[in-house]
Amino acid sequence: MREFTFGQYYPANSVVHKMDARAKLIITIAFIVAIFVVEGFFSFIYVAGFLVFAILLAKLPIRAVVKTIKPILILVLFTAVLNLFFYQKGEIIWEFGFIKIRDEAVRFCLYMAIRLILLVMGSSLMTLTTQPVELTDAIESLLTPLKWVRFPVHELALIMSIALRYIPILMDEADRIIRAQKARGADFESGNIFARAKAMIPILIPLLVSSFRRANELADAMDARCYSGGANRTKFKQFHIGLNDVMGVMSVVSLIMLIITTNAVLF
Amino acid sequence: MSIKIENLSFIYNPKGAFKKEALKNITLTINKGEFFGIIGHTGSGKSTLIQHFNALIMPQSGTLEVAGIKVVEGSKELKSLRAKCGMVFQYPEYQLFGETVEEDIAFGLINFIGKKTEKNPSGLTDQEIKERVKEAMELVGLSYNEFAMRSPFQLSGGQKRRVAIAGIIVTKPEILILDEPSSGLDPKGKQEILQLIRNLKETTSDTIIMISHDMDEIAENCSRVAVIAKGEIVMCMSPEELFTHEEALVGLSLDIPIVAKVRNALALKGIDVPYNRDYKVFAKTVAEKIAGGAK
Ligand SMILES: Nc1ncnc2c1ncn2[C@@H]1O[C@H](COP(=O)(O)OP(=O)(O)OP(=O)(O)O)[C@@H](O)[C@H]1O
Ligand SMILES: [Mg+2]
Repeated sequence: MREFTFGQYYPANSVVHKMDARAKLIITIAFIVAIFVVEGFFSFIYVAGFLVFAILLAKLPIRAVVKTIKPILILVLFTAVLNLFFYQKGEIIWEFGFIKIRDEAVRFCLYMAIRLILLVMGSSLMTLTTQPVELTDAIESLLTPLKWVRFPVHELALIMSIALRYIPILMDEADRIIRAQKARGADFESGNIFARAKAMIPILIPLLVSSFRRANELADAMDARCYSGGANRTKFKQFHIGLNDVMGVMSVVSLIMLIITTNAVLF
Repeated sequence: MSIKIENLSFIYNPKGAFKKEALKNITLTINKGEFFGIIGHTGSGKSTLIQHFNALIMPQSGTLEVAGIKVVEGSKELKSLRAKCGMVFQYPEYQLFGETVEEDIAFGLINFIGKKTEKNPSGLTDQEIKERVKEAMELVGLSYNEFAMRSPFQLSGGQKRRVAIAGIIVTKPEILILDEPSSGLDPKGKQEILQLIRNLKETTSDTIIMISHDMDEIAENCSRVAVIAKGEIVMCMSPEELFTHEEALVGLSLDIPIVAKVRNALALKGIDVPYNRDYKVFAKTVAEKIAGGAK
């Protein structure tokens, strides 16, 4: 169960782990922009190179990063195949009955698949190297300007961090309840789809009940400690912009520039 | 022999970054008719071990045989194993889901034996299910008339726990495993739950395996105890003998009953009397010994 949480924090002692979470967030967003700026096939090599370099720098096993694309693989294949048949531009290069495949469609599908995979791997690299709390702190910090228009930035960040914090707890709880019901002979694997949906009830109800219980306990605990929102709160971990952060942001900016120049030269 | 474990080891997430060796080379035999205790510091692997017994966790290495059934991946007998070997989890009240207490208790019964239909002639009729639920409720000390139709979510903590236990023993398992059955209850609630477990040993489940943090509970009930530390069984003997190893237990952050401490202190002073779980009997033997020695 615990292995399932994809892109979950992977502890290691590396420069990437130690970077300012805000810098990592900006780099990730810029990286995603870079993926979509690419026009020629050739530029993907830069992007992939950048990603591999970052993974090595983060001292992560390649396997841990590659594993994060597993959940979306089906989606990628499905959309790629659909597009292959229905994309209507370009020369027909292969024809069989009513199936026509065009050169533009092949190009389009490949681009999309590569983009999606790079996108997921890039953003997983961020969550693999950043603790959820740091991440929400970073979002809060970057959204601070919105406080001027009375947007509840702190509350939003709090909701996000609580939600993120509770995902593994709820998964453990679900795991526990599943085992407890299995001990009472519950069977989740056999029967038709309706029987299986019905078999979920003994899991979902206790899970729901315990989520409410936890929410209540958390609210009480926050009350007991006089929690009163964002104003004047200090942070346990302060952000510090360091040389590595500046270099990271600069390198992703250079990546985008490189791609734009390549685009201009080639087209 | 009820449970036979040989060289059992278990590692959580063997390949990931969160690899955790939870059991190391466990060899243990639990006999039919025993009231067997398992004690150990938090995180020592107690829960991991007992979840092997009804195939909720499959052995990674080593062999395990429970009630004559070999626990191996893909075995067809696992469901009947779970019926024979009931398991009460830690805080079992968090697994309740039924609309009524009766529905919740009947869940295991219907899963294991099934309702009587044309395809399942050996199943139970509605009347039989009701009888079995009633019997189980009475065994855990809940009146059928008063509680059967109530929602389990409206009961007190101790009552919920009784409902959860009834939901396990309703199938009359030969072996009953309980993971810290008294944790989180007040002293009176603890006593009541333990009395209930002793009664179950006489009525439905001949072999009882109980995890506990409380040496007094172990001393009072168990015929044999295994001490687990860091995934290994370090001692396995009767409570009386165990309590003579006071220093070793303290080293494992375990405490022994106060009477046992007094016994050990007296033994050092040359008054060597056997430990007795009943402190009055113990005091009497000590007094006799002293009086006899003075003569
Ligand atoms: N699902 C899991 N994934 C990874 N590690 C686990 C998992 N469950 C337990 N562990 C680890 O395995 C070790 C043994 O856990 P176990 O639950 O068996 O301990 P325990 O003796 O029952 O403790 P307690 O007295 O607190 O209930 C612990 O260190 C625990 O952190
Ligand atoms: Mg436990």
